[in-house]
Amino acid sequence: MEVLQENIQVDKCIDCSRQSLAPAYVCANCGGERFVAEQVQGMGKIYSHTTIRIAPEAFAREVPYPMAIVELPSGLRLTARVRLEEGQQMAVGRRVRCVGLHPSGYWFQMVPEENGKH
Amino acid sequence: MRSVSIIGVGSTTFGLLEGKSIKALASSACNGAILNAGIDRKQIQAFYLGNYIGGILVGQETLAPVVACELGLEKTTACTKVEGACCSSGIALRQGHLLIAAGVYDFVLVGGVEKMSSASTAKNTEALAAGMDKDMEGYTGLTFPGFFGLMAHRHMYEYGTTIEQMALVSVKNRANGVRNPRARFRKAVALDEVLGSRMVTDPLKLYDCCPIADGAAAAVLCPTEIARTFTDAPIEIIGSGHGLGQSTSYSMDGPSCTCTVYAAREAFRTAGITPSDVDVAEVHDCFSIAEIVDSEDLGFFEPGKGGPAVQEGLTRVDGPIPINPSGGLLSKGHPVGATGLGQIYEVVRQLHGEHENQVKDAQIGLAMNLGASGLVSTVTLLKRS
Repeated sequence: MEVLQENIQVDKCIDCSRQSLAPAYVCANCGGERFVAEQVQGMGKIYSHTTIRIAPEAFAREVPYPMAIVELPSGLRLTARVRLEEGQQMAVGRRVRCVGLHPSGYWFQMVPEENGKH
Repeated sequence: MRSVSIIGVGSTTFGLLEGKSIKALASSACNGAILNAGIDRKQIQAFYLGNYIGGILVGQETLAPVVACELGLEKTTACTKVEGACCSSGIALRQGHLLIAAGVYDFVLVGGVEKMSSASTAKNTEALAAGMDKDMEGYTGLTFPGFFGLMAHRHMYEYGTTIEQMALVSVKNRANGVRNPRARFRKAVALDEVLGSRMVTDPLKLYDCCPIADGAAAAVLCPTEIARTFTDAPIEIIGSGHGLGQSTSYSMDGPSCTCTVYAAREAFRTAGITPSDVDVAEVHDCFSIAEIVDSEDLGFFEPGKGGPAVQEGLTRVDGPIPINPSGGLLSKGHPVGATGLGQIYEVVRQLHGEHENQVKDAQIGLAMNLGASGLVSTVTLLKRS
């Protein structure tokens, strides 16, 4: 079900070049309806985070599952699952990288901080 | 545009109302509003009924005409179900208000209803998540509590808001709910109990979350110029706004629901007043953090000051800006499609001077209803005339 995926697919508006998360139907910037698919590097920072402990029926077997809003360097954000190693905790601003694509969307992992910084 | 007033209100209690169908609940609240207004029901020209997940949870659609038939409204009555997630009946109210203001109708019944207790928590969570953008976020497993968990952590990061400040919202509102006979929860909770309750979606714990409920509420509206024909104490709608926010959590513009900011701006502009003129407010505290965010988005406090304001007691019934003296959604429960008019019911009681937690000499009241992940909001300003 899950495939390895390091990049995020975005739809770039052919008319104004604005990038939107895929799938885009109408460019909210210019009204264009023609897009070209592009891949952007799935490296980003946690904008905010939570852990879902009560889930809709379809996800009930997966609880508890960590989730984050990830902000890419371009400013584009997405809602994603986070795979935490034993002892890891999410925090706003922590670096994460995309590791997979799943029916539940992109999955990210924490990037170890340099110099032992948390 | 004509001035519009509320001439009658009705509400069921909010809670686990076993044996009461969605039609029974809506009919009871609507009939209550008609009787309270003292209006001949044959005069009602239009009926807007807010409902969110009746189709999913109890399989009842086309709800407005169904309830209208039960109420014995004229066959010429224009009946419309209104949906905007948890903001459904806030929007229903505004539709009725605007159509009277525009001169299309003179008498409009507005209502809101939800029946939730017959479904499991997982089924309710799934149904509520139908308000998310399915293409962009619905498949991820995010929930509305999850959205407010994301909102809370960002608010804490940007402003230093604390877990305790959020918990104090629940403590305050649960204390207010003790005296409200319409509330589902009428037992106060201590700070330690909130902090010690089990985690639902980090950092929100069980007592940071409002409970589901069954319930319905309604109001009858007419032009202010003839309102006194029906009641000695009409409540004028002096301003209202209806704003659009974002359809996904990742589009959040800081820890704020911008739909509320826009709705509030429009409401205060049309009323020609400022937040400091408001005597009492019922706001959408679906989660403790939501009340803090609402209080900032409405302009009662600067961004980041909503948490300290709770801690300082500024929003208590006897404080300078009493927020949710009814107990809010945290005490009353959240029958999602009914909540907006449930708030109006509470504010009308305040402006009549009849509330169980009466704010002294309340003249101007505010009700603020929010739908989905900060996607849609209505703000209504009411005044005792």
